[in-house]
Amino acid sequence: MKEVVIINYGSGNIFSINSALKKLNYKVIISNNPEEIIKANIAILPGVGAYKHAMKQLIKMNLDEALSIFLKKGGLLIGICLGYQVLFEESEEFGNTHGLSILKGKVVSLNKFKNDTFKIPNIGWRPLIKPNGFPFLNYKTGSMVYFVHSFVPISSDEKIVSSYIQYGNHRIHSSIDNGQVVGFQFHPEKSGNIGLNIINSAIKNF
Amino acid sequence: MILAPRIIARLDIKGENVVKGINLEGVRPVGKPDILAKKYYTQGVDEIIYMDVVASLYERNSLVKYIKEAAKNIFVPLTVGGGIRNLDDIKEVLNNGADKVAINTAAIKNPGLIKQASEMIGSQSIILSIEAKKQKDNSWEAYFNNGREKSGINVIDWIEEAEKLGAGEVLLTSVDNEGLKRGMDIKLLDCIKNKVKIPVIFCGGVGNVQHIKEAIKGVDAIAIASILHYEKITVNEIKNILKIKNHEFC
Repeated sequence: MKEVVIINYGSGNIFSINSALKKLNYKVIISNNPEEIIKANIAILPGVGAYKHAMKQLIKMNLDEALSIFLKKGGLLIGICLGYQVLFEESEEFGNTHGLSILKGKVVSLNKFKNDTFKIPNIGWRPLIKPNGFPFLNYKTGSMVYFVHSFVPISSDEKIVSSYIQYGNHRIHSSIDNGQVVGFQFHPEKSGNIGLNIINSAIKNF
Repeated sequence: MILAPRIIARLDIKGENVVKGINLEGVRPVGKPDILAKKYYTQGVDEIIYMDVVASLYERNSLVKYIKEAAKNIFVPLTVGGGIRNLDDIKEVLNNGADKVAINTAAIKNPGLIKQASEMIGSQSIILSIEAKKQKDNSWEAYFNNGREKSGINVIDWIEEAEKLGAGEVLLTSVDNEGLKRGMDIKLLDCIKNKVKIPVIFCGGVGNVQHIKEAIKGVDAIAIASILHYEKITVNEIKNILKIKNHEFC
């Protein structure tokens, strides 16, 4: 039974992710202890709320360093929603805030893509678009997953984008996967069986 | 492109039972929360709202045990409302599996709570719940304590205020139409349509799919109860009739 650490830094919906992992038969450890996280093979960084607050918490708890060592040791890191956004270099939420810079790119406001069809926050179920030939993640184009966000990362490296959604006239990046770091703007843990399959495939493929 | 609205099941809960009344009054039991939630999840519902209908009177929400159980097996967004008074209540509910809270009474008494909560926890988890009742002068007033008490606040003003306070969504229930199954309050909908930029969940009066169709263009989500509880139709069937595919109309 694979073991997954959920990083508990006071900024995430841990309950639902824990439930999802248990449903998928993974052993779950919930921890904010840097040593425990460094030792793990698979870690999930959840997150809801404000970017600045989340970054502050991560730094205060020395989890920024822990994650960097964890990755050097070859661990699989999965970021969800805000836990995905903080993996990038910076966010324009409340002025510019530095992120963990694990991934190249910037988190921008959805205002940039303003249109009449979608409101901000972007709340609801949206169909994913799978990049042609993308090898990872078990889902098909058209699979519906649940979004709730006002900001979105733009990955500098287009090759790692593992899904898009259509947002007005724009296609925005909704998840990434570079083989070691997996990130979701949507909430796979709130997206029914489709979401559970996506989480499962991210962990299994590792 | 028109986005199809989310179809949300609303469970009004009193004690151990899901209940249903008319105009939020005269409730009678229609089933158990766990069983109905599971059923609607299996039918493909987009979200579930748990509303403790007597909580404000007793000044506490008793739904934590239900939400905790539900969140183990139901993987769609769960909202809890009724008797949420302060930040501690919000945190307790969110830490036990809920994704959002719906706040009415406490927000009317202290609008600052919405602001504080959305800043600390994030707008995405904070829903301002509004119980609207039509007045003699054809305006709508916000009620609280489950539609029993007048606040003196105009619904349109309150909706506009919601966004400024930082609410992520508005749950708008028409007390007049609620439970009657004769259709939604389209006049109310027309009045608020262009007033608010955040998503609106509209609730009250759905008796058939036609009623959903009538409301569909003005809202982001529709909360339904009676027709599901009394098994007039399933969520699946609703989506099929509306031809919702990939959350757009075909």
